[in-house]
Order: sequence, then structure tokens, then C-alpha cells
Amino acid sequence: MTIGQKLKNVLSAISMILIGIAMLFFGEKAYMAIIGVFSLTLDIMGIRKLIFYFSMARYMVGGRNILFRGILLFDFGIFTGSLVWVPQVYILLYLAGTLAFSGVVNIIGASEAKRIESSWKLKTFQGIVKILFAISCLLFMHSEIRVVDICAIGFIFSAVMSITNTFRPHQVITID
Amino acid sequence: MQEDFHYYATYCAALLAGYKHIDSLDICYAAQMVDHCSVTWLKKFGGPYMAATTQLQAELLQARTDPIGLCDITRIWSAFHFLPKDLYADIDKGTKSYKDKYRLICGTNGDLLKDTVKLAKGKGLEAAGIAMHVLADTWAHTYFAGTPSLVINNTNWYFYELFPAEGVEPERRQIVFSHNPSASEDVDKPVYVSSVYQSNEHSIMNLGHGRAGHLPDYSYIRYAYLPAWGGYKEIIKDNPHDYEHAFAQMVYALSYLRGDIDVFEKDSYAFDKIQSHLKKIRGIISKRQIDASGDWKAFGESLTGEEIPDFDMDKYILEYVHSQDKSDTYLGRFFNGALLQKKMVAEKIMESGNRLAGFL
Repeated sequence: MTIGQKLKNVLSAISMILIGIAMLFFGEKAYMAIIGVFSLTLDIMGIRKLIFYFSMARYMVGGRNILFRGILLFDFGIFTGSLVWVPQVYILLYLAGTLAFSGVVNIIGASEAKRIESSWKLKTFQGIVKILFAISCLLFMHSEIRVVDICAIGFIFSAVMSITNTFRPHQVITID
Repeated sequence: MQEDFHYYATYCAALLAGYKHIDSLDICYAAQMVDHCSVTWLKKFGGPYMAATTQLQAELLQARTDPIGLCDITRIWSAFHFLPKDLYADIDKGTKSYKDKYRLICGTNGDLLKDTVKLAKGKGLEAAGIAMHVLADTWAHTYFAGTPSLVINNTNWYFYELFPAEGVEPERRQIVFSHNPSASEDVDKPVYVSSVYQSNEHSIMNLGHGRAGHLPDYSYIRYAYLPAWGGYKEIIKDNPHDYEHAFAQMVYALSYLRGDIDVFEKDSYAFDKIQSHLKKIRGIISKRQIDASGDWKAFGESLTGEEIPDFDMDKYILEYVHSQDKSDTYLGRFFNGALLQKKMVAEKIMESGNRLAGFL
């Protein structure tokens, strides 16, 4: 990973930590801003993937994955934006759902990594913690403040894990 | 390719082409040096950075992947390790950016190979060694491009090792790559390591054959896979066949550089000169091992009765540092040959309307 890519990951993680802190301190008042940023980020990521697909990746073996990811990200972005008109409890459930989904993806990735003798423990830990956060949200659904706090801590946790992953060594083949 | 082929096999090829022991050592030293001459190494003794012929893992991890950074990477890897086969390849799909990347795919017997060997003519043993590195790599690295690109260099789960059998279709065993940085390759299990999938088009993980691991570097292996650019058509890479042809073409090219042949033609091989050793050569190439250095070394030493010293990348540094006329030292001539090769390839790429390698 280049210094630029590391910087990008760290900045993105720091913004997630700030969102988490904002949620902890300002609770429901931070909702609109958080939903807005979340929605815009997903839309931009989706559009970038779609541009990459139509300009190049559609000629590549397995390139449709890029298309599906682009559509999914863009779709999630629009959906997230539409949540401003929905009661807050559903927004929190949605945020908990995204955490749970992300946790499941981590665990699937970890089991795949284990199968090919790659590093899997950190990913499994990450996945389990995210799912536990999501379950806690469901358990405390009647108390909005607690759910906000749990989601906030979940965001901060994801950000810290992202920073950890950024500085972990990755296999690069030195081509002779 | 690795030290076994670039150093020891190149020594054997030079001998069979008619060079003496000492000259063959100079040629194979230069051929191997191409894999070591990085900016980090050049900094150590004040060598010219522009003459770098490779990038270390640490350098690649820090390398910029903006357009200028990509040009720096592409100039080095296309000129020395992934010589493009056809800069004007007829391709009816994709944007210009896609076509430019597609046309950098490495392959054997392209026009640039002819230019490379002709450029080395009369430039000394060091330039001959550099040309032999480039030539040999066109056989090993064929189907991959020397520029970071997901859409060209990516591979997927469809990867099978082929085990030929008499009269029937080869047996296929799926290869599952490990991405563990601490994993070591084991040809018996087998365990093969490759770069991890990165969806970023210009990630350094998508440079050359990183996604196919070291498989292109092993002479014994045959495998089938789907290259990202290939439109779901299976490619079968037969390394024993390719390495044998690489060796025979090196002997032919070195015979030309030595002056025994007047014109260097593409798709020509000196099988006549290696005929009496072919059984031995095939035995080394097809032996299932990660590093064939020991076998090639023993073969080379059996040809002359002389010892082939281990490769020492710092061997000529003192001579270079203390010389008044650096251009007349071994490293001086090596740097000159490397600069000429890099300049020639970058200019040819630019002439074709492709700006991925930039200017030197």
C-alpha cells in the first residue's frame, strides 16, 4: 500500500471516529448529518465503480462483480439518503443491520482466508464484534440513547480496525 | 524467471553459443543483475538512479500510482521484465486507456525483442546479458503486462495445474493460492503464494504476474487459467516447452551477438547447438523444484570444468567507485546498456501513441 493509500484509509477511519464521537455527544441531533455523509459517500463509491466498469472492467474476466458492487453501493447510498423521512428507530436498525452485514462479510472472508492458510484471526474477531454490536442494538431497541451509543462505539471500532489493517503487512509478489 | 535461469542457465547458453568461460560469466552476471539493480541499491554507492532495472518490494509498496508514478513503474517493468509483444495489437474492444494497457501484454518473438537484441550488438557483454534477461522473461512472463492493471493482470479461482499422461487428457488439480506473507512455497503439497485481490485498477498488487504468484517462474509447471483480458478463453501455459525454447533462443541470440550469425530473426532457435545436451536440459527444466540453480550450475560446470561462482550483487561496486572513468567499468557498461534499453522501449511505446511509459 502506498503512503497515499494509507493516508486515505487513515483519513477515512478518522472521519468514522468523528462520526462515532458526534453520535455519542450529540445523539439524535447528529442523525441528519451522519445520514447525509453516509449516503453521499456510498453514492460516490458506487458511481466510481460504475465508471470503472463501463470504461474498462466490462472487458475483464469477472468484471461483472465490479458492476454489481457499483449498483449495490449506489443503491445503498440512495436508500440511506431516503431514511431522513423515516422514524429514528428504523434508522438505527438499519445502521445495526449494516454493521451485522459487514460482520458477516468479515467472517466469510476469514473462513476463506483460513482455507488458503492466510491470516484469519483478526478478521474473525472483527466480524464477531460487529455482529455483537448489532445484536446489542436489537436488545436495547426500546432505549434510543443506548442504541445510538452502541452504534457510535461500533463505528469507532470499525475505524480502529481499518487503521490496524492499513498498517498490517500484505503479500506482494516480487517479480523476478 | 529467477536466478537459476537468469544466472546459471544463461551461463550455459553463452558457453553453448561459443563464448569462453570468463565471458560467459560476465554475460550471466549482467543477466542476473537486472533483477537486483534497484534505486535502493544504486543509492548505496552513488549509481545513476535512471539506470534502475527493477524495483524492490519495499520500493513498490511506496511507489506512487498517479500517472507519473505509473510511467516510472511501467518503464522499468515493460523494458526489462515484460517486454510487450505487439504495441499495435488489433483489438476491437475498450477505450483507448484499455487498449493501451492491452498492447503492453508481454509475449515472445515480438518486434521489440528483435530491437532489444539488435540494440545489444556491439555494446559489450553487459548489454548482451541484459538482452538475455529480457528475452528469457518474454517466455516466462508471457500474457502479463508490466504495468499495474487489474483488467489485464488479474486472475480468478479458475487455476489448474496440469499433469500430462500418456494418451489421455492431462489430469487437472485446482491451485488455491495462499496470501499469507509468512507462507513458503511447497511444490509437493502444493502451496503457492500470490498477491491478494485488490479491486483498485492501479494497485501495485496488480503488477505483472503477482496475481498468479511465482508460477510463471517455475520451469516444471504446466497450468491452465483465465487471464483477465482473455474473454473467458482458457490459456494453457506450458513452462517446460517455453523454458526449452527460451534457452534455445538465448543460444541463437548470443550466437548473433558474438558475430556467428549476420541477421537476428524472430522465431529462430539454436536447437542444433544444444541437441547433444537436450536430454540433460529437459531433465533440469522438468524437475519439480522451486529453484533449479544447483542443477544448472552442475550442468554448466560439466561443460567447462570451471567453477561458476555464486552471484554476488556487490562484486563490482569497488571497481566502479574507485574508477576515474566510470563508463569503462563493468557497472558503467551495465548502466549504459540498461539506459539504452529503457530509452528504446519507452520511445517505441510512445511512438505507438501509448503514453503509459512516458519519456525517459
